[in-house]
Amino acid sequence: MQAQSLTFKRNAKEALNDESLKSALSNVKSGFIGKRAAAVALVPEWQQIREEARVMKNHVLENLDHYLLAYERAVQNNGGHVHWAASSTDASQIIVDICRDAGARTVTKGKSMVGEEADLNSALEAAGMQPIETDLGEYIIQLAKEPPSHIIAPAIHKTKEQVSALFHEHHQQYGLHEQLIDRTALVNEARTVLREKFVAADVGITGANFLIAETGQHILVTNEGNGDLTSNLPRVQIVIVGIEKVIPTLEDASCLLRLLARSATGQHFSNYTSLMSGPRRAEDADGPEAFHVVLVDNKRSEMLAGELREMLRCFRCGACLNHCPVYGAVGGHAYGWVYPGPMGSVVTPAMIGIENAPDLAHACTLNGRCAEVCPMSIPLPSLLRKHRRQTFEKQLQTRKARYGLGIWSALARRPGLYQLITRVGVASLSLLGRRRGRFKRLPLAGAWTQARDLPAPQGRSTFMSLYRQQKK
Amino acid sequence: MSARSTILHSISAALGREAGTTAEQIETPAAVRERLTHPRRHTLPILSGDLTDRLIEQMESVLMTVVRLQTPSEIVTAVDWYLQSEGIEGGITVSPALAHLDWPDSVTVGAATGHEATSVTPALAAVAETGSVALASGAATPATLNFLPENHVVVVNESQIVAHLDDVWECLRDLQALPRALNFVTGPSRTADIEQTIEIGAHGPRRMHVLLIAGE
Repeated sequence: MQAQSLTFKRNAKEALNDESLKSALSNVKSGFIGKRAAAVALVPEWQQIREEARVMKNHVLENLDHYLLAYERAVQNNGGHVHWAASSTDASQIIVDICRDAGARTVTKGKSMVGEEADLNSALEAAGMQPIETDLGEYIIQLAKEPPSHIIAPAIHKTKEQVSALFHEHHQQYGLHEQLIDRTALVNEARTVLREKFVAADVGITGANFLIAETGQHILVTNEGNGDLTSNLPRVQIVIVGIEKVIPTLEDASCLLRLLARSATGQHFSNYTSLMSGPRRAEDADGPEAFHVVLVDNKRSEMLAGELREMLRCFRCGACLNHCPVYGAVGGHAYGWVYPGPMGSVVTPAMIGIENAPDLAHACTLNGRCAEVCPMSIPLPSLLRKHRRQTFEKQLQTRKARYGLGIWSALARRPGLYQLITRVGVASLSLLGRRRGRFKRLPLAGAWTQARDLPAPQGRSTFMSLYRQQKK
Repeated sequence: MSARSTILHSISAALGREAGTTAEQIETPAAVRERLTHPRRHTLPILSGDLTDRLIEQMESVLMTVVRLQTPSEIVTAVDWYLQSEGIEGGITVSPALAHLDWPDSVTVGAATGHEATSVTPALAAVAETGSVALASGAATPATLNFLPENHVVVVNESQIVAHLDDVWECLRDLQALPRALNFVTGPSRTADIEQTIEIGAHGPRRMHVLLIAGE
């Protein structure tokens, strides 16, 4: 997809005025947050498991290439093919070629964020194939021709009325002529239509949650079972996955699985957790005839080198999105690319260039909730601060913001002058505001007073003058 | 340079190794070899109480139904009773691994075709920690039976109940060959993709029923 991150501010403003989006986003708060907290509370060992996961994943990142080579050998032993893609465009090309060689006409897909990075659907369509998303949320947004707005609930911005209208518009060809109103009917409609697609598909493409170097298996986690139908039914199975998803052994997988579902949906375990390896065995009665995995770098090795290495521990659970007040207000589309919310604000500039997404790191109140709930203990606010520093150094912010910061930093380095100015400032505000006790309008604080009054300081003391008094 | 080589060089540089060397040209670090050959368990959640009780409780919490049987000879009757009590009609397909039981003639054996209403399959293990059945694919256990039918009946022996996921890894390593698929199934298929409200029966089975057979 064409990145729209450059216009974050405009996107966000539009989102804030979208009433149906506001109603849809209220489901994030009521659903995800409480369920996660309840699920985590039932595991007294939570912090210990989380810490071990962090240490394990750091060990993997320090030896990433060794583990990738071990995984590659194991996949080949299982009869599968391993492909490497330096960029997301290369990944799409590799997959298009595999599909073409297989004579594919229809391709079913499980939800894959790496597939979104690669804009895989467009590439398959351009090559004359029909890609069909099978995760219900992903199917809905495919009909709507929209990008996902949440990494685990891609259609969270849609109300059921909007889903109903989409099915009414697109399912006439399957004999649907009425307007479905209840959720169960909508889910059944999608089930019926997609069932035919599952059975007819020539190739199935999914992502993977983890790659196991020890055995060459990949793990795929879903609730709908669409990932398994996509993997098991077609002649050819393709997995597209980022290189950072490799882990050493099955024991490491169970450690991460204990964190994943609880952090993502508040379930103690997802409905379908599947470990798969290679094509069908000689004696098997079902399964694909060929198995391919495409390992995608797409800037991940650059992140490994730099200040963002810790971001590569991310396993895409979405907890940071769910707990982010900015995401909760503007939704996912405002971020303008594949990954929204805190993790997106870190990853997007690294993948599409900070000059194409200069505002994302600033769309953060540094409240720290994301880092608190992150099961992989990624210090998201510090990583965002690193991006902020870069946008300042590269002069990517507005001139007003840069001058403002310049003046503030000059003052902050001259404590005497700083204290003098704050004393004068507080005294005059207190004097001017003594009658009403608040300001309706104030120069330089227009953005603040537009939405609320600024309270006038009570008395003339600054923090430093009080501090000095107390110390005596 | 191939993409593989480009990526390996790029990772190697990121990790601060000598310029121009990739992981293929140096010895695998002892810590990596050790880790791969001697997998280490992480902290496991402590499970209190009886494992079987815990398993049943977890399974019921994710909308699976569980019936306890005394011997495998009761399986056929138990399946029939279940289907009748739920009002389920349509064909039954069973895994070749269960073909030896005394099924009625209408029952078919083999992989799923998408037309059967109900499948009956054996499990490799059942996990008390998660309330999952672990299903390994193979010649006698086609994986499609786990996903295509509307109703899925799984036969579990009490001796197959394990505490943690990590115990299943041991079962897996004990098998002669790695199965193509190992599916942990934890309840009927569900989705919350429309307004974050859970609906059962997204793509996989709408009902999951477990027949738990007493140990010898």
